[in-house]
Amino acid sequence: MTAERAFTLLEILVSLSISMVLVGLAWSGFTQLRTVAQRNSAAAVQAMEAGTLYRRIEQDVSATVPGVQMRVETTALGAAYGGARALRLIAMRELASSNPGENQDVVTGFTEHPLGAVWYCWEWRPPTLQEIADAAASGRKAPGSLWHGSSSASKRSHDFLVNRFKGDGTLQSGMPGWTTFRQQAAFRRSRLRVDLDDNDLRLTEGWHDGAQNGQDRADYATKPVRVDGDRTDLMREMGVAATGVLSCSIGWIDHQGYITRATDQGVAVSDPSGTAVAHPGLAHWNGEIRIVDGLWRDGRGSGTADAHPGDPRSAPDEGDISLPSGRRQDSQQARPAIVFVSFVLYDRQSGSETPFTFSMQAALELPAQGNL
Amino acid sequence: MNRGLTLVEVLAALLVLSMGMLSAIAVARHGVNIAREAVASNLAGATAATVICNARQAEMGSAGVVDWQAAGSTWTGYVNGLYVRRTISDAVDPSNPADPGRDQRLRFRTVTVDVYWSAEAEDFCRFRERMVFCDR
Repeated sequence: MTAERAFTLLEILVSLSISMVLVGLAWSGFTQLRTVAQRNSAAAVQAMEAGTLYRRIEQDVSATVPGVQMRVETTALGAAYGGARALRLIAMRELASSNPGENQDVVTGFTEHPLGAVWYCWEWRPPTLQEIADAAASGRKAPGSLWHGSSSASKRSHDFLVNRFKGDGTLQSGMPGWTTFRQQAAFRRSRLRVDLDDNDLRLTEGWHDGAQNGQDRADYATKPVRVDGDRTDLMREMGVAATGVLSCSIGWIDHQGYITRATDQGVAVSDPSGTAVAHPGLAHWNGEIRIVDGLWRDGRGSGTADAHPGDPRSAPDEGDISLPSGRRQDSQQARPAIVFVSFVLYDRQSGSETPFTFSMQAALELPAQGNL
Repeated sequence: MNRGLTLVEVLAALLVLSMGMLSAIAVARHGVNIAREAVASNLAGATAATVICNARQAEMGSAGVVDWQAAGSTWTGYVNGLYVRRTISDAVDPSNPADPGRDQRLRFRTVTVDVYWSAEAEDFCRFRERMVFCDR
């Protein structure tokens, strides 16, 4: 008998069993780790995307408030989408001049860059039927996409200002004194308006309450409407901001705590407690679209009567807002104080769905009711 | 001499091997946690800004919205996967006209938002802002 001996069968079996146990534990650990890493990777990408979207939307909101007309709308798309609705948030701001260096904020008077955005649009588009079918074939969901577009003020023209005033803001010679106030007032009350019939974004002059009311209404009725940019232009300038957006909700909370919310089901308004409310006199809200004029008292009407009988578009008035009893009938109350956007990001590989919700301050004062 | 390994030697080798594997797993797990913290940090600021201006039940999807009049009002809940605590200080009695925090319809409040990894974790960022709320 020599010292040379191999393992006994028992030793080998014991070693193998221990090894298998260890490998099994390690395999399980690595598998779990791999799953967690994949999930975290998807979550990281989604969080980065959500944070980027928040910053971009917040930048738009802060760039156009105050002095903004804001609208949310839902639009049924064509056959390729099976009639599903897209939803949009559009805000517009008036700038004083198209001449470089002359732009002034209509509220603060501060000089602005002539290329500052005068409107922006965020739009969520649902997937097409083909995309839904393709995704279903591979056992996945078909997400929609988020689009963004904005315009500049570089090509705008303002005859009233350019004709009556020099570049330094002084009155040109030969202009009667009353014109100074008249045109200045008219100019400062000009704003982009939305024609609900053709969806153009339009700039009209004049039309304000007070001593000049009659003349302004006449101007409004007779002067040609300048088309600042129509829907075709707006759509052409839009680009994809994010893909993989399963669902989206956009809206705002006004100064009295009322919530306007656009989803793929339409536009709804609820009171601070969340109860749906009906605004039968709110001509700018028909279940698919809601518009509030930010700067001017465009909703000062009673809602049932035509507050602007000289306005050819009034029926009773596109700016009238009828608020529930107890609310001040003042369009300033209906202005957005908080803009919010909620969306669900979808990761195609892992199939994870992550909801995000963000709010942005759109006014100096926030509504106290129900907010804290 | 040409002899094989003993069982003790094999077990010792397996022990060393398993320790190495466990260390590798621990390092990888630590990396995963770092990535998770990076994700949360990216969202923390945006989430805090969101909660500072808006703690609505309708938007946050959580119950527990409290009355702004209550002193030291606190709202907690998960927002964007992060646990958030929103605290109002300078709460005043709105029925007292002499209260310095009461200016007609305006209420000046200091809103503090703490963001946590989870309900059990320690906070990792804090935002504090002076806000104006208006009773219209």
